[in-house]
Amino acid sequence: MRIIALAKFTLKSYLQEKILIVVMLFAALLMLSSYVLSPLAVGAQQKIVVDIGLAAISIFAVGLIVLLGAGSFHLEKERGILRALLAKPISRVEFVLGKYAGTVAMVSIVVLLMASVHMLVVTLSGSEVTNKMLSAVYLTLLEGGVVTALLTFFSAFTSPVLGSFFTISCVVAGHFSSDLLTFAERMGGTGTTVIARGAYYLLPNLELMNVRSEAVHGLPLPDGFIFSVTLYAVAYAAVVLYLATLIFRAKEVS
Amino acid sequence: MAILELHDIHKAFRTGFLGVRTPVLKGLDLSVEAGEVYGFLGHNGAGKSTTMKVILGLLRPDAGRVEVFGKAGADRATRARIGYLGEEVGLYPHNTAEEALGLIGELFSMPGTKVRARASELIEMVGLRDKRRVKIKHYSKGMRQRLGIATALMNDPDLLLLDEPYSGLDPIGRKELRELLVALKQQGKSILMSSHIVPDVEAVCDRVGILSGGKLARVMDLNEVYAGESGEVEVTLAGVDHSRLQAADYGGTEVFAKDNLMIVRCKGDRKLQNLIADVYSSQGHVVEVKPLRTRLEDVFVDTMKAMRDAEPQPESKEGEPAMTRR
Repeated sequence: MRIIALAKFTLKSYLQEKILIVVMLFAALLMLSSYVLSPLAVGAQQKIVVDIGLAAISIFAVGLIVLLGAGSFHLEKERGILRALLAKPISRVEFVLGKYAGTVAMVSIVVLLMASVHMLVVTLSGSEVTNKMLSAVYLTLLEGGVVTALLTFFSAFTSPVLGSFFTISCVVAGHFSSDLLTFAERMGGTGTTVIARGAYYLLPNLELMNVRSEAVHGLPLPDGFIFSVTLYAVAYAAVVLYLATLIFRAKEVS
Repeated sequence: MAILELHDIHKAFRTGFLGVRTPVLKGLDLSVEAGEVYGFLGHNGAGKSTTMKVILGLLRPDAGRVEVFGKAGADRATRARIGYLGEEVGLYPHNTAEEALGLIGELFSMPGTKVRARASELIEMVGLRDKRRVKIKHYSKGMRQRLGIATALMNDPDLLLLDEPYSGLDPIGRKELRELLVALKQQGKSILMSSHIVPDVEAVCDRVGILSGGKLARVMDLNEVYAGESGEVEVTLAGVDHSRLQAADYGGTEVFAKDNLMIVRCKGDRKLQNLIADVYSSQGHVVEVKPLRTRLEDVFVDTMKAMRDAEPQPESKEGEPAMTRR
């Protein structure tokens, strides 16, 4: 109940941000421009439209999480909202989960709105909306959940700038984490292998949530892939959020 | 029965690049009785807000014990019985007053109908009825403070912690808050109110604690202080010939006399009556009669000075005077 109340108010505070509208308009413009410019790529017009559209959804969703999420935590502290809320009968865990749920709700709305524009552009370009495109949008939502958990974790103990920096670093590294495994296999030294393998398991494997190529080229996804990625994303976010609550519970609110 | 007790609370903060520990509370003992309004006085940075945060569990004391409603610390059940107004009101700026109180009600797990009724009652009480659907970001400081008071009262708390509640209020708002605090006191609420504005504290508090040097330098029962006063009054007279009117004839002393204005101090109802009668019979009139009371402001200033004087002076080099703090 209290988590829902906090999530509701967190979501509402995000929806008041003008930057949200600006970013979404920009994303819609990018998708429409892909439709306008796609005739330049002879023979691959539809692929361009799908690729740019899905990439825009993913990039802008992650960008908004970092941009709005980090600032939100900071402003609540600066404006005394955090102190006022924690003086009420609400636990630190409830607060973290409420903030997380509110941010995920914001990302979900943004992703679904951008996806609707994307589907419209795809239809206008003469293509069909495929299940794989819908899967790609769903996995972007999962990626948003994982990235929000990371941001929540970093916001629990760092400044907004550092929190944003660490989150973006994790997102970038998370999309290349499989390279770490390859690197570890090629390196002979035990120490380097252990470190590379450790980083691989520690960082989120966000590339699992990227099926844009499959959506663009119509390639098949393995059986049970969506289900197993969902489990992975939920488990990863849950562990990160648990760590965030541990840190936040130990933190003093001055 | 004490509703809130702090025993030997110590709290220091790490400051600066090197994280040097700066003590703020150094063995604070404080007790608030049930149904009492306790004024917590101290200069800026004395540790009043820190004390409130320690009570609420927002800050952990380095040493000492906090007991609220007879239980150690302020757990969730305890906080459900506390109303808190901090230095900043702490409200989402894009919300309206109704929405802000709605959130607070939900956090206290109040049913929806009760939240709406209570919010409406409090908005009316703090005089924001016309602005209840205006976003808080458009509120003035005083309006935000009024709403903050409403949020602190949303759960009908047994204990109110008010950190500088008069901050930002205009004279009408201050008067209304004083009346509200008196009304809450009559309802049996316990209130711990911090301030550095002495007259505001003096107007409503039963007891006053002066925080200095990280501990309570003095605790005063204002009722006892006023009960033990001499009953002396200061009378300002106009249109009197002070060469003919002798204060000593009325058992008093002359404080000021110039032209046809005169200020006399005297004691006792009968002598005061005689003085007033004589003034009117000689075509003069009484401008003001006010009781000579112990002013809390003077006590506060004296206590702060005494604490400062008692602080150890830095050692001086031979032949150089020791630096004195003012």
